[in-house]
Amino acid sequence: MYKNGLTYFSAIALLFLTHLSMLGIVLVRGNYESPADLMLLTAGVLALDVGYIIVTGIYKQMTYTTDFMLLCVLGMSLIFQSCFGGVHLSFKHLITCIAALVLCQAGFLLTRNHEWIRTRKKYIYIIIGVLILSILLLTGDRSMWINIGSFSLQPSEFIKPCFILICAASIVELHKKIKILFFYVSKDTLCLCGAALVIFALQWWCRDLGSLPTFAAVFACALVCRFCYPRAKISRTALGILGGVAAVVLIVAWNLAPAYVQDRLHVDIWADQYGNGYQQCQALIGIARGGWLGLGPGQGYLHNVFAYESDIVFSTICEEWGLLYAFLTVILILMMLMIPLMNPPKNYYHAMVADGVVAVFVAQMALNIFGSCNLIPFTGVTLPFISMGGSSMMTCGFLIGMLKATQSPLFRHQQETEQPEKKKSRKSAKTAKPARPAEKEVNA
Amino acid sequence: MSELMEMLASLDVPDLVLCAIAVVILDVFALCVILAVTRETKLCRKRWQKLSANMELRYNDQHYPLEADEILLGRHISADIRFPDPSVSRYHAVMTVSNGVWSITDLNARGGTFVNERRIHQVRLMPGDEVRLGNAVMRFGRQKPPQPKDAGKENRHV
Repeated sequence: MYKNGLTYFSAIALLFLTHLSMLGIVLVRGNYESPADLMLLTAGVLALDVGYIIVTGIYKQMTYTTDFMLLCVLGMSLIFQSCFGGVHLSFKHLITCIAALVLCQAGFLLTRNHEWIRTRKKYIYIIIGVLILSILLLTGDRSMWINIGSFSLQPSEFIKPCFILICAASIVELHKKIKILFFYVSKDTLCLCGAALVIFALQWWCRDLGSLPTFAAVFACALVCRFCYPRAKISRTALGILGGVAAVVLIVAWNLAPAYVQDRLHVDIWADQYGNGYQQCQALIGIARGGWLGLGPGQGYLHNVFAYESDIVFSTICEEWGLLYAFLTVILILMMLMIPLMNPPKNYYHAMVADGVVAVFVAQMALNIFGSCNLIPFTGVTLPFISMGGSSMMTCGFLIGMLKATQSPLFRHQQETEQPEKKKSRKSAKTAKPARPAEKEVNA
Repeated sequence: MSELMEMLASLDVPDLVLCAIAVVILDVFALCVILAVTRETKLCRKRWQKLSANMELRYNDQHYPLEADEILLGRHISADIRFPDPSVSRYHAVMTVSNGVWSITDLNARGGTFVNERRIHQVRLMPGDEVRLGNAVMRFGRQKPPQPKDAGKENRHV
């Protein structure tokens, strides 16, 4: 890390203090059998912090704040998950946190170079195709899960970053239009719309209607960016028609939704407390029981309810840690997403990546939290970084890496000249002074 | 160690105090990160100024700083720099930057793109070049140096 040393040191010190203060709460208020459990948890959290800070020091980035925020949220998540139903280190969650951090770096390194991604667009389509085929062929009974022994994967989660990447990579080539019948259309936009339709159809077929709004949010962002994009020839009228079509599709989908979705839409949870409304009733009771400060880590009841660590994790945190801490966690995640607002990206690719990532996280958080609070039906969508789940956690890590890439992008000169120059400078101490760029003129 | 932890656990600290401390630390952490972001933003701005060579387009006494790595010039309402001139196409030309060097590419506009009165398809721009899109003439050059007030502030550090 370079410059801003004092600020970074303060952030790192406060990061440790944040986690230690939470562990202090566990020590005093937690439900644990022996201090060894708590010591193991402390060791796990601190190892995660120290390890990642060392790794981030290796790569020279323009921004480290996203890393600090991510590390803080993951540490909090590890503490939350380890305390549900009694204090113990959740090894499974620790491993997924490590995987998320690794994939964050991978996402950062792979997506910061927009020219590189643009030239490899077809491979992203191929990856999406392979993931869709794996869902169709390897999952059974219209499911989204691939079960390998005790290990299960959700390939649809991995489609999310790929979908954002094709949205972003195609936006810069909108001026390359082809004539189809009487219309000039962009080939990339057609491919993107086709991919979106296939993904939506797959989600519908697999009954994974919780993820559908997430993909729809990304697609809507891509459309809006095309409207705002300089070369876009989408008029306001066309956008109005698109909005109208979307509204009609929504109304039709609402009416054609499967029976179990209709049940969730119309169920009175308090009248059916031990049937369809059981989870939501318990989630609401848990939030009320926790109050502002919570019952204490591991002291709640919600760990006896199905999906306490994933779908209704917000309520479980509210019950054990209190509404105040749950809100602060959500605000911390939102702050992490708002960093691009303070440092806007300098090209359309990174702007679209930032929009897509924020859309995914905001949609997921809204679905999970509003579902827990009974404002919308349960969707089974995870709360980013907090819910238990390998596929979700790894995808979130990769997405945050993409967000980080928008803050620390690789511009053209670095791709074309800086790297070869570095190689040259290693070979010889003398470097030739760059000549005045010759005019490359092509007569029209 | 475990005895120490048991002793700490047995301390009768009010829950409210404990939670308040944790919440305050979390808030201070968030504030510290915001401070770091603002500093990073300044660094990123400086880096961008270095990359883009702080260039601008001057048209009819108006200054358009080039603040993205791809700038579209045209008549359309959604163009980055708009020219309300009928001789300028809706999507006329695009400017890109690479290694501090700006290039302009004609997007097959009817009126054509001219640099120093020579019709071009793609050319690298040099400071002081005259760019003409249709009948709209503009000058490519460096942005104005900072105001004397700011310069005075900078000199104080020297």
